[in-house]
Amino acid sequence: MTNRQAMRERVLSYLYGGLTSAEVEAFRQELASNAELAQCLAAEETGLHAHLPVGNGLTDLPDSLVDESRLLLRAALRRQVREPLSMLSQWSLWLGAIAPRLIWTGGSVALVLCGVLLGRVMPGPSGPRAPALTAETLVDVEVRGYDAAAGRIELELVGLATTHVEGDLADPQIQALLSAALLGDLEAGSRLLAVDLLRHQTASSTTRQALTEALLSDENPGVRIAAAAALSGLGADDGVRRALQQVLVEDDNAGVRVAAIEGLRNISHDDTRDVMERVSRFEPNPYIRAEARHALDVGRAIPTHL
Amino acid sequence: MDDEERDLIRRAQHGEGWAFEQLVRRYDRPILALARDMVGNVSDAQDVYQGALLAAFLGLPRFRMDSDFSTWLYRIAVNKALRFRRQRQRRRTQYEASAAAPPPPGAAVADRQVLDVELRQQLDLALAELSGQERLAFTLCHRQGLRIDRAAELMECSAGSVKSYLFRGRDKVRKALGAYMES
Repeated sequence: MTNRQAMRERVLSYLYGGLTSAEVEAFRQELASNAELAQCLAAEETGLHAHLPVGNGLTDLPDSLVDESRLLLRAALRRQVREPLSMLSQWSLWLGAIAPRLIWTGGSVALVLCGVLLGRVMPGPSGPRAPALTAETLVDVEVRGYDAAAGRIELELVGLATTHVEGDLADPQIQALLSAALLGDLEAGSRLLAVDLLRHQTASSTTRQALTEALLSDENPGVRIAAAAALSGLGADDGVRRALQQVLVEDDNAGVRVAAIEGLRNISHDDTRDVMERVSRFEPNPYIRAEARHALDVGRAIPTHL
Repeated sequence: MDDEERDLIRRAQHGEGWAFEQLVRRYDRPILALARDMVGNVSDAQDVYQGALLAAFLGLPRFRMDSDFSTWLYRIAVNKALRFRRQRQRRRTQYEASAAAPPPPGAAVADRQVLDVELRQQLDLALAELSGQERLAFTLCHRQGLRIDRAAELMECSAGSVKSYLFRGRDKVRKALGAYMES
C-alpha cells in the first residue's frame, strides 16, 4: 500500500469513527503541521460528504412515511394480538393519556370533595348512589377500574359534579357514557381505550353508531383503525358497511384502509364486492391492492406479507 | 437499557402489542431508513420494516435482558434486509428483470419532500451496484452514521472487514455519483 493510500484510509477511518480517541487526538494535532493530510481530509469532506453528509439517511426520511409504516405495523400487530388488553396495560394507557389533565383537574376535584363532605353533614333524603349525567352535561369520563372477566367497569364522570358509576359493560347507560368519551375526549389514548372497551358491545345500535362516527371522523388514524377493527364483520348494518366502504376508498391513511379491508372481508354484499374490485384495481398502494384482491379471491385471507 | 425500556420489554414479552409499539418507536426510524437504503424503494422498505418488527415481536419471549435491545432489533432488521435482497435477486434472475429498475412512482413522491429526487434516484442506482456487504457497511456507517466498531458488531465481522467493505462501497458510490456531484 502506498503512503497516499494509507493516508486516505486513515482519513476515512477518522471520518467514520474508526480511530481510537488517542488516534483521533494524534490525527488532529498532525493536521496542523501536515498540509498533505489536511488537503486529503478537505478533498474527502468536500466530495461525497458534502452531498450526502454522514448520518443523513436518518433525517432524509419523510415523517409521513414513518407514520404510515407505524400504522401498517399496528394493523399487523393487531392481527397477531387478538387478546384484550390486560388490566395493567389499560391503566398505564389511561394514566399516560390523562397525566397532563390531572394537574388541571386536581383543583376541581378538591372543590368537589369539599362539596361532598358538606353535603354529607347536611340533612336530606337518601338518593341514588350514582346520579345519571346526560351526555350533554358530561365533561369527561374516566375509567377507574375494569374487571375483564366479569365485564364490570367503574367510571368516574366529570360534569357539573364528579360522580362514580359502577356497572356492567353491557348496561346501555355505561355504553352511552363510553360512547360520549369516544366521541368527545380530547386525548387520543382515551378514545382508543373507549373503542377497546366497546368493541365487544356492538350488539347495541348506539355503540355501533358511535364507533361508526369515530371511524369516519376521528382525527387520529390509530382510533380510526381500532374503530374499523371493532366494526369488523358487522356488514349487516347498512351504516357500518357504508362507513367501512367509504374509508376504504377515501381515507388518506393506508393503515385505516387496510383495517377497512379486514372489516369487510366476510361481507358478501354486491356493493362491497364492487368497492373491493375497484380498490384492487385502482388503489395506489400495491399492498392494499393485493389485500383487496386476496379478500375477493378467498373471502378470508391471510395477510400477504406474513 | 433503562427501567422504562425493561418494563416495556416485559409487557411486550407477554404479548401486549401496544407496549411493543412504544418500545420500537425508539428505534424504528433508523430501521426504516436502513431498509430504505438496503432495498432501494419505499414500498419494499416498508415490507422489510414490518417483517423485521413482526419477527422481533414474535421472537421477543426469547430475548434475554442482559443483551442490548437496540442491537438485537437492528440485527433482525439487517438479516431481514439481506434476506429480502437475496430473494429479490433470485426472482430477478428467474424473470430476467432489470437490476436497475426505476423506483415505483409512489417512492419518488414520498421522498420528494426531503431529499432531492434526482439525488435519491442516483443514490439508489449507485447502491444497486454494491455487493450486499458493501451496501450494508455503507448504509450503516455513512447513511446512518454508526461508528465502525458498532457496524462490525451488527455485521458480525471484524472492524477491519467493515472498513474494507465501507471504503470499497464508498468509492463505488462516489464514482457513480461523480457526474451528478460535478453538475
